[in-house]
Amino acid sequence: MAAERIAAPDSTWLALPATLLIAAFVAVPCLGLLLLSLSTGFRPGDGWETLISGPMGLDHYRRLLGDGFVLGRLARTLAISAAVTAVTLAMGIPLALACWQTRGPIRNLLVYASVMPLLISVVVSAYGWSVLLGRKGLVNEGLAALGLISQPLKLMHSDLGIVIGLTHILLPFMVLSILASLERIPRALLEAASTLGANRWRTHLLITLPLARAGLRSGVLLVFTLAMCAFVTPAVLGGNGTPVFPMVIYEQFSASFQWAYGAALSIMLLVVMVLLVTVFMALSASRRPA
Amino acid sequence: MKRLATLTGVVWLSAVVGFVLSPLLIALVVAFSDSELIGFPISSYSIRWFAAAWHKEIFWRSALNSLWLALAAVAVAGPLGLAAALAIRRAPVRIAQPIETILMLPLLVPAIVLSLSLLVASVLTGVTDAPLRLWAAHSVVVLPYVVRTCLASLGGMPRQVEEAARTLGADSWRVFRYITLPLIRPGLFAGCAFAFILSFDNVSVSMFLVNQKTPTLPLAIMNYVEYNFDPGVAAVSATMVILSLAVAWLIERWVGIRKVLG
Repeated sequence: MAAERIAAPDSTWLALPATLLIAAFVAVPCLGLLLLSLSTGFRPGDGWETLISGPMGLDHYRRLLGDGFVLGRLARTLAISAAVTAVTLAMGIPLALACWQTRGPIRNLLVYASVMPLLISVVVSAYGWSVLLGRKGLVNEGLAALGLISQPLKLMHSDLGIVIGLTHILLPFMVLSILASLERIPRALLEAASTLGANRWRTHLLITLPLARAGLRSGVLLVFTLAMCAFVTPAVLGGNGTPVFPMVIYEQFSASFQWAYGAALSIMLLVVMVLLVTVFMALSASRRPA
Repeated sequence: MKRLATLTGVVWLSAVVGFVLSPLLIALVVAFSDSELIGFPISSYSIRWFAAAWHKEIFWRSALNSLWLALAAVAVAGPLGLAAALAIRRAPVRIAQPIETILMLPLLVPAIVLSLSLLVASVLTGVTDAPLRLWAAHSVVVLPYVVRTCLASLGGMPRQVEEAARTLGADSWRVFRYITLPLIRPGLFAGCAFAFILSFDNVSVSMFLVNQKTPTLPLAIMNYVEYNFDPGVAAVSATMVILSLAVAWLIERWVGIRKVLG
């Protein structure tokens, strides 16, 4: 009644500039990349006219399905992402639980520590890790001084280095996802569990974590997909001859000038991501209906 | 038994917190070392590497590039994100939902795909000016964060205050200027501050779009460590860490850091 007379004027147009910005600089370029991956006659130096009117086909996709190196790097990248996801789960669950259950300065410290990697440039983190993990890094020197190793360990320039670096920058996504879910759980449930004689571990295992399933699921999805697409940390901490999949894509553009093939690889990365997310959602939803 | 379990938990938690903080702390410590090369244990401390970094042209020049770029990106994403958030908040769900999804696209598209597609687009259209394409890329990358924090702030504001103002005869602009904006200002500031630091720190999008002769600060660091191993770069990194912490502190004061991160 009264509310209708004084209703706000239509203001949907206010979203127009932002939407146009996304259309111009995200949607159109991504469509361009898709077209590029389908174009068979494109050579570097050609204009966009060739892309639209030139010959089209699935040649590049056929080629990548037979490209052993590319598929091998993709498999390796998936394995690295799985390892990163597992480690972030092992670290993220206790950290999120602790953030949820503590109060005061301890909680602040824990929350700050969990979000810190998000606020720091990945270059700075990668640099810090290279000081710690290098051949003459703090870890190797320390272990040698203690007499535990005689040869420096290959902590950097290896897949282990990538897993360490990615775990570090992606942990916040896991913690924040789980924490968001935990904060929706009524605390009375925990009191009930402890009244009924469950200790803390049993309570978390049987009550808290199943209730935080949505957060765990989105944390796993976020960390896995972000790990698959990361390339700055792997470029700094990984080995030279064993690039991760995004690095392989990059090389098509920078080193070999096979733009159309690189575009096809990018689309493949997106397709694999979407497939994994779909399968994971289907599996995790069917196991136990909420 | 119970104490053992608690002890295990505490030890594991401290290890995790140590793991998270160690690369940042080590950069801070090394930055204050006095020796020519990075080595342990550090025997004496000084601020000479901060001075040395200051005198390296590439660092302050690239820092200025990053600063201008971040400010330019926020200048676009701030107003556009705020306007979009206002529209989303007021529109019916069937319109608001798709708009919000479109505006969150930069979070869904992997950075490598986003930046390569912009690189291809810029080359194909002949607009290969590096600052321009960096500006476009950074603006879209930080936009979702501004929209999200503004939406969170608008969600915490009772609709009645705007209605009351309208009932009293204020037009749309005055309602926005004197009621809405002051109420959501902390959220807008926090979103812009987070957008600033994300742009300033960004590597993954800048990497493909930058002109190697005029890099941004993170890229200058990345290039530098490839050929040098002195504590100068630690000093620059430490400065960046301190800058990030300062911005984080501001955000915490305005709305709380958790609101910005979603």
